[in-house]
Amino acid sequence: MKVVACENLIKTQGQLKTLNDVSFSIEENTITGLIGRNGAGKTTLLKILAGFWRGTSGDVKVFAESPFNNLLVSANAIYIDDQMDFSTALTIKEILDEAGRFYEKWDRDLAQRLFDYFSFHPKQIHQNLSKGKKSTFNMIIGLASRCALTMFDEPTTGMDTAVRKDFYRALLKDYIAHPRTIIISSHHLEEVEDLLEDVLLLESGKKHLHLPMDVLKEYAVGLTGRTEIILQWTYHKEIIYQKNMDHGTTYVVVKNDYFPLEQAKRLGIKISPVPASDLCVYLTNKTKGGIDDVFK
Amino acid sequence: MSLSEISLGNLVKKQFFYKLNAYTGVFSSMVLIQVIAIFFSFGAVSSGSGRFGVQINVDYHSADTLIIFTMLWAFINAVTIITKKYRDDDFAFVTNRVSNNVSNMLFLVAASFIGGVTAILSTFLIRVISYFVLRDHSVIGYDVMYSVQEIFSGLLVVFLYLLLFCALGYLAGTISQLHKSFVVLLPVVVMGCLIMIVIYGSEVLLHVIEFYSKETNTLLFVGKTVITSFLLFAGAIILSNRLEVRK
Repeated sequence: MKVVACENLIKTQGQLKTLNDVSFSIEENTITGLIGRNGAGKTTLLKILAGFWRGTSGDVKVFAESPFNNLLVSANAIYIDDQMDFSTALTIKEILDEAGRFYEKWDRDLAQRLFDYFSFHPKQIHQNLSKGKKSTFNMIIGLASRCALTMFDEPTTGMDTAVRKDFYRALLKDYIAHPRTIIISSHHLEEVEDLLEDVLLLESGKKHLHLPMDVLKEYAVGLTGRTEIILQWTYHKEIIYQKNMDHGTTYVVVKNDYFPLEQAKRLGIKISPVPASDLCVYLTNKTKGGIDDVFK
Repeated sequence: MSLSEISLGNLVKKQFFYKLNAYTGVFSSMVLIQVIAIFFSFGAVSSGSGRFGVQINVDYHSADTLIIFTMLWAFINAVTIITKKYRDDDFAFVTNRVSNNVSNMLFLVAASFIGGVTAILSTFLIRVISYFVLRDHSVIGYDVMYSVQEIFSGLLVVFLYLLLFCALGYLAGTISQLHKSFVVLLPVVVMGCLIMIVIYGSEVLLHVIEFYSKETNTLLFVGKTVITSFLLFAGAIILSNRLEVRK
């Protein structure tokens, strides 16, 4: 069953199209990474899925219903980000208790154990927590609510490395024990790539690709060799990324389709796999050379 | 995949109790305002006259200041709970616009009731303070008695006035949430209209106030205020139903 289905979704904010003709669907019980540069439209998309915002045009379905102002979606989908605000009149322990009353599948026990593990003080006020602590607390709400659609928008903002690792591990363990549909938006694909089953890459409000992680890892190859040979070889190919190295050598990234790799090796071209996180950066670069082009 | 089903009524109930818990600021501001109002009540209207060597001073210890202050609180309180900060807090948990509005409405009814009770009780406090502090023994005596019925009808009237102001504030708050410019435009338009009414000497405003304040039939009064409040709330709900949240 499709948990999320978007068709030709457009969202205009002022003059700008923050989402431009996005169509995709997400199957039940998968972990999808929503990847994109700053301002690619990740948050906009998630807020529409959560029912906070309305799409300008196009069709959005969450649990086969339109999410905006929808009670079923609100009860079964949760959106976690670092902007979450809770009443300042309640302590964080009380917030957990309140959340438990609202979410039917809330796991009180898990929430309490995570709360203790990350050494929160029950009497603290959410507003006074540090940035990393806030994110950690919000993550506990996201995990313990066990919503059929759980969305984390940049969940690790401000967390230190140890907590980040703990979070991903907790997420995976809880996902295995209680499968549900999870969408994580992140800048750090290298951190989450072991977790993800699918990757949805957004670029300037457009869907760039939506692929299983395994396919994405094989999507492109990196070629390193003498500049003239490389240029000759990639003459009619679509170059995803190009970087001039020292001593007249060049590194290019090209799409991995029927490329005569054996032949290339004989010509002294070094072939290397392209990590998914690097690939996503290359794919969403505005220019082929990245920041270097600015300083040319 | 099993989805949690939640009924609107059940959700409204949960939200209502959540709000009683979370919006404690509303009640602490009420206490503060009423304490200030009690203080102001002692700077009460005083008029004196003297003739033939006899000086008569009449001090009015009126609860009007207190009631007006509480009405102001009701209005501001309703505007506050519809502001972005409160709305974002509400949308952290399960909700939709209708359930949020209905629970806000119920919360305001509860707040008006509590405000009404404390306002009525404060009028007695004013007397007690006058008696002991100002040594004004005329305010408590055999001839100053209130029947239980009087107290309750007083409570009802104050409660309904507060509710009316809450509903007015809630609608004003909702309108100002629709677009940033309304925060400035709304007071300007309202003030502009009031000034126009005064300049043209129209008695519309007077009639409106009299419509509510001069009603002597309890049942009619209840009907007028409840229906008006309901219409104001309904307007707010309809307006905010398309509002985007959590910018």
